[in-house]
Amino acid sequence: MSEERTGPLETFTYDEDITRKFATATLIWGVVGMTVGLLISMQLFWPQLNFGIDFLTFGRLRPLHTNAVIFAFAGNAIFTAVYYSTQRLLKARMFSDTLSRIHFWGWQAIIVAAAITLPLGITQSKEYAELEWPIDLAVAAIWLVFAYNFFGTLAKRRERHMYVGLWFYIATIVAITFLYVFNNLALPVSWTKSYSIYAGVQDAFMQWWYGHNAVAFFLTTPFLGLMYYFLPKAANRPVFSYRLSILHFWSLVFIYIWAGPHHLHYTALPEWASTLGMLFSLMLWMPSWGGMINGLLTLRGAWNRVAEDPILKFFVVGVTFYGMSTFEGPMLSIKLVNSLSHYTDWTIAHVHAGAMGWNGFMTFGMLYWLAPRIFQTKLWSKKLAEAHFWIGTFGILFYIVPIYVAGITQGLMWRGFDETGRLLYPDFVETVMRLMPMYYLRSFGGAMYIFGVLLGGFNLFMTRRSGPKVYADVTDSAPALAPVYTGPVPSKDGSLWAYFKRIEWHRVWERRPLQFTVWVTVAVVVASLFEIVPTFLIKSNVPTIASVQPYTPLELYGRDMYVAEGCYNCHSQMVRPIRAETVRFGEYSKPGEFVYDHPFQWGSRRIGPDLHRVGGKYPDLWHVRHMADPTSMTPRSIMPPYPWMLENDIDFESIRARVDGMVTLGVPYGTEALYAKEVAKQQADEIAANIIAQGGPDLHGKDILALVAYLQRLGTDIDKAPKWDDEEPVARKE
Amino acid sequence: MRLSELMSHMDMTFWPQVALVIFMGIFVGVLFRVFSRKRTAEYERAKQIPLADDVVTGERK
Repeated sequence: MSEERTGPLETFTYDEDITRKFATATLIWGVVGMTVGLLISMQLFWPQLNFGIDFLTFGRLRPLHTNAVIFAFAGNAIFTAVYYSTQRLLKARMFSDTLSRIHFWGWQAIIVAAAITLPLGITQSKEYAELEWPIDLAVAAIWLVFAYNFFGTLAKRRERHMYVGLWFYIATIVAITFLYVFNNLALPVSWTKSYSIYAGVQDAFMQWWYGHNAVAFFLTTPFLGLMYYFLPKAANRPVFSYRLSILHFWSLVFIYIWAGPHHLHYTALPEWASTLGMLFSLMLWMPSWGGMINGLLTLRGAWNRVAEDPILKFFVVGVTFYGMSTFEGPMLSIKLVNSLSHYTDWTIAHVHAGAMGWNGFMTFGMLYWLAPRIFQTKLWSKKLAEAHFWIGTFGILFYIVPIYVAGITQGLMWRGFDETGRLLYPDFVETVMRLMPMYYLRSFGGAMYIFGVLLGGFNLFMTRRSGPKVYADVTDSAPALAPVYTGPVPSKDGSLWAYFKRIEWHRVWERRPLQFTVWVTVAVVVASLFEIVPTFLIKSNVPTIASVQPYTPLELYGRDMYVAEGCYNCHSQMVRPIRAETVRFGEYSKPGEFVYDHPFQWGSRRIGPDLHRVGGKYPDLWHVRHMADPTSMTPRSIMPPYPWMLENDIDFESIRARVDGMVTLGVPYGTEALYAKEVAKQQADEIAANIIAQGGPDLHGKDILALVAYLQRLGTDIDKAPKWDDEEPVARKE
Repeated sequence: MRLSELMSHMDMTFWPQVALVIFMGIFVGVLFRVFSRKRTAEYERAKQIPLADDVVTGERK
């Protein structure tokens, strides 16, 4: 308010160059990330599209696709929005131009590092947190640079009130810091390999606490900040209800953090945690729809302009997809719905409706609005933008509709029983074949969407070219603020309650970014602690099973290969306690079976069958032939061949370090750890001899032996007698 | 792990419920605060902030 403005009028310039940089990066990485997505979607109906090259296989490229579209495309879009709007909302240039540049180039370098390491199979295997520890450290460092620069700008602002959009940015910065750090805590065993410090259930819980909140605080809150700034700008009218936007903010911050366990329904997670996750997800319905309605009603009285303005069209469809996704999300969190949808393409349809519709369209709307301003010229072609909008919208529909159908079809086929109580489709591959027409359509829709993005890229490139060679400084002026809040000091007369009512505590926090940040942090951390600590520290939540033993050194090596190849992208290791699953795969999975799994490998999508009970199901030679050419064992299988596993040699020298890593994390190897290499060699030789005996090739010392060892061990421990039973009844004291 | 043994005896399964109540309480407080009439003028001004930032005094080529 004007009476608080005590300083003289100051004139200053905005840093537009940083916005231009991030906007350009957004488009470039968007095309890259989406194209990788298109390629892997086509591999599902045309497996030869990996050209027999290991780093082009689905398991390695799928993490690249998700990381690229989330952190490179959406990430750069967020930074574009933050750098443009923050400076104007605060009436201040960014705190430090140097930090802005470090942030920009650092972030791009991280993306390049991800694009190199993920196809090489250097991965932590936790979804959207695959990057290995050196890159994680870089992410943390760059994120802190961004945070420091942002809060520095808040500190030197000339507008007392922090607009609600900024609150969403603050929540993003604070929450992502916590989520990223805690989920990525890992013990490095080499420059390219680390083990999650959590195991099994706890690792899964931590991962989906992170995974869900990555959606909340990376794909939702910053884009809401973007919406609350750019939508009013494009519509040229204020947000419908500022009250509703504040309510929207606090509800999301308070509720979102609890919703993560809904990714783990019917798994070995304690039931109370998954029920809690469901209830909080259902509660999210209200604020999310409040926010959507707030966005759409901002356009009241301006709907006639939507017809002729592609920017508003992008925003309207984007906000509508926000509403659709946030309706569907809570619905999918209901356990009964989830039992059908989980592990199917329904999840894929849900995330793509959100990512392409909400994140993508909000980004494009923003870029078209920004282009003439940051490039200081007119948009090159409004018609082309209009074409982008329509092609993109139909692209989304062609993508999601078939994939919804695919998800529900496969979910129903998995649980189909005939009247005699047998599975209707006992062959898993049958349920995959049924999806092929949908997969063709999905790739067509995806290609359309990318074509739209290319049109957009071309349009923005031409806009940039038609702009001036040297950009003019964008100058603004505002009076400086007094350094501290100078509102009325409440008198201490009367009762404590009267005093409490007089202090304008909310007003004080709103105006002091530090306190505000502290409160957001408290909300996020307290909620997380209350939810996570009991799972981690109460033994009864993860009952141990006496017969479950650590992996042998060779099996551990094989498991690391399983992780590196990204097998978890298509295969779950979690048989849910549902009849259709126990009949198909075997005994349901128990929490105590995963206590040595650093990291967990439960997966989230079954493009192939569950593997938790695959141990002992087939002879060793079956696995060898299957890895060399899956269709030789399972006709019509869409799994890519892994012939290099039969050619590459096991790196026995690295095994000791791997086992030592596990020992450090508390896995009880005992003295076996000292002879890890020898023990591994012995087991490898036994398996190699076994394969020859079964009529297979001589594979002494080859990688495949370790993978076979691991696969044959999977899920078999619960059928074994505990070690101390009869062999050494007295010697072993537990 | 010793800490986990200690914590197991603390019977913390009710923690989430306690947190739920605390959070609901705070949330209701926020609700009252946000909807109090006193704030109307402040919000009316605040919602105009993004629209008021185009006062460009410098020259644009």
